[in-house]
Amino acid sequence: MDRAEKVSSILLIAFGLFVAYYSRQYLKLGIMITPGAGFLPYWIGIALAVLGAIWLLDTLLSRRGSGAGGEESAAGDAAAEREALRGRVLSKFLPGVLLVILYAWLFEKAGYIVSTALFMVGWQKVVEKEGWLKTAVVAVLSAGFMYALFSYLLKVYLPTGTWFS
Amino acid sequence: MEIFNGLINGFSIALTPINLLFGFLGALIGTAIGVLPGLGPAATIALLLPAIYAIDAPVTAIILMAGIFYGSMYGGSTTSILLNLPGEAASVVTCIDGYKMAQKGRGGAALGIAAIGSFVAGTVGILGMTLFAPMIAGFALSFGPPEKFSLAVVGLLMAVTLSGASIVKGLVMMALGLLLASVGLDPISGKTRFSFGVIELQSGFDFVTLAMGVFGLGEIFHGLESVIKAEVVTTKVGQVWPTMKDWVASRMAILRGTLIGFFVGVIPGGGAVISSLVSYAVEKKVSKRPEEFGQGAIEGVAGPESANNAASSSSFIPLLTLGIPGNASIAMIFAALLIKGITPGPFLIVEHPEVFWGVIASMYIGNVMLLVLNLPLVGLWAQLLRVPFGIMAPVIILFTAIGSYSIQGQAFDIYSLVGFGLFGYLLRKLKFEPGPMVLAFVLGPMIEGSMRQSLLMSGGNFSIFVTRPISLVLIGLFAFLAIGQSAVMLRKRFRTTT
Repeated sequence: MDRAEKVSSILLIAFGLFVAYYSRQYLKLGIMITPGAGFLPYWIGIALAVLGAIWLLDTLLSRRGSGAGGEESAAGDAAAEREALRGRVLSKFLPGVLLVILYAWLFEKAGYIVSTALFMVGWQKVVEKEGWLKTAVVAVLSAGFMYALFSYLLKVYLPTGTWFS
Repeated sequence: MEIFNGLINGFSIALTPINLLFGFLGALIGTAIGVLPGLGPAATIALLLPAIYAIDAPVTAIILMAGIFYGSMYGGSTTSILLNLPGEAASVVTCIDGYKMAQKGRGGAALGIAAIGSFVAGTVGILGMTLFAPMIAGFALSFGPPEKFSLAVVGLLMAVTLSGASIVKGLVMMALGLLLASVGLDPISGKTRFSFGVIELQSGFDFVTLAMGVFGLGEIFHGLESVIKAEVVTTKVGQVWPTMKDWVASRMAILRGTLIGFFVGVIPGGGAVISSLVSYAVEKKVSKRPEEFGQGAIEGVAGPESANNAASSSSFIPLLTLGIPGNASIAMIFAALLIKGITPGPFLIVEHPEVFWGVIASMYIGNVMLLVLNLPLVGLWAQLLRVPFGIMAPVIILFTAIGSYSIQGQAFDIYSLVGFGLFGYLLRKLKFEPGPMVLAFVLGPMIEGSMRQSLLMSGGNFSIFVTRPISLVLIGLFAFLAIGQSAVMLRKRFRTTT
């Protein structure tokens, strides 16, 4: 987590400097009586860079402060927890996120019915590792419930799919 | 007399069948999400924002949203007491004594006093709002652009300093929120900002997509790599009506919690979480038996639960009178008002009295509904925890995806949603509190607009913000609070190092 905080704070500094540069160069700061489109974003960029630097400094100082006095058993527990987390990320988080991205890509192309059915089946099989019967029941019920809610109750247009038209 | 007439008018609106139905739905959904750990009130209101496009009357939409918000405060205590699992952040402190009471077979009494305290505090909070809100709104009518700018910035800074553990991270969130709000067409120069040639970005990010992504999807993504410890309910609830001894022990705690909650709730960033913590600390301090705290003291449940409900009512005051949302859930209601074409602020009471008084009246009715929903049905609510995450998660994802698509009918919004969802996940991993970002996003256009107007008024001189009395008082008040809090933090750090 310490490394993640360090990398994130450095990225934040870089991002802040980019925002400030872009605002000054392309959006223009204007004059004090009539600030330009880049005035506020410029100062936000500067603030982000400064805050990123404080965050980085804080992370570095707190690491030095905590020292290397950890117990062996605690280190072992932390390693086991890290390993378990890695397992959950690989087996649940990554497939889950990929399925959502795939759903976004398919939504207009394959239409609501096909994309939703594929998403629900994919989720139950890949993320939850359920059997086919439960997968089919959950997929049909949830897709049907959402269709009824949005299409009939809220009168929202749901795409039928550009691939089929 | 004006207040009385307004309230009578409000009740005539809130008691129409459609508003009663939506008020009931809000209370019901709020209680359910308060019970379920993970999905908080802000996330739920965000998920329901697309639905309000389909509701014709603005007052009906806001009654629904408000019901969810204060309903979640009631529901949050149920799982804290029965399972030691807080349904939302404001009920964390209820776990300490509530769960101990449940372990000793007094879960019913804890739930009962929590519901009664919540009812009393919620009602007193609304009463306070009825009396004070019109006065504050009248005063705020004299605000010009410099006062609006100072109020919004000071409100945001207070939300940052009071709401999270790290002020630096809170400020980062605030800056990012303001930056995200600036994406799209600049209303004054007509220049497009940070769209990088993407046509869909020219109109900026949509608040609903941002809120659903960061709060709804972000929580689901984070939940995927967490171990959810939702056990099957086995604790016996028992008798929910408190005994005479419980009453005597709790009545002053309820009163103190109500007052603390009301005043802390008005401060931006104060809200339900802080008020419940303050109330617990006060109860422990004034108790003649402080050693019983942590072992099942009923005052440890009555005080905080009253405080968080009073705070949830009073946090509507800055929104309805000044147009300043004090926390993420209220920011969602702010956005809902904007979606319905209503600008929250001092003119709300004059231009849309039906919304102002209708919502206040609905809160009185909602509190009674919540008491009825919570006391007899407590066992039923606890059963909600049996819904597995494996079914809830994909259904919420579908809801957010279709909801964001429904706003403008473009797939780009689903991609934005996924992007904000991943961003929300990262924020949770890095221990950032997303609330200030959402607040800054909704207040961003007002802050920039009033800043530019003020500079135009002063001929480009920034001293306008400290030479106008109201603006100076606001900035001075914040400086006083910030210095006070910094001193407390420094003293704490000094104590831990020596």
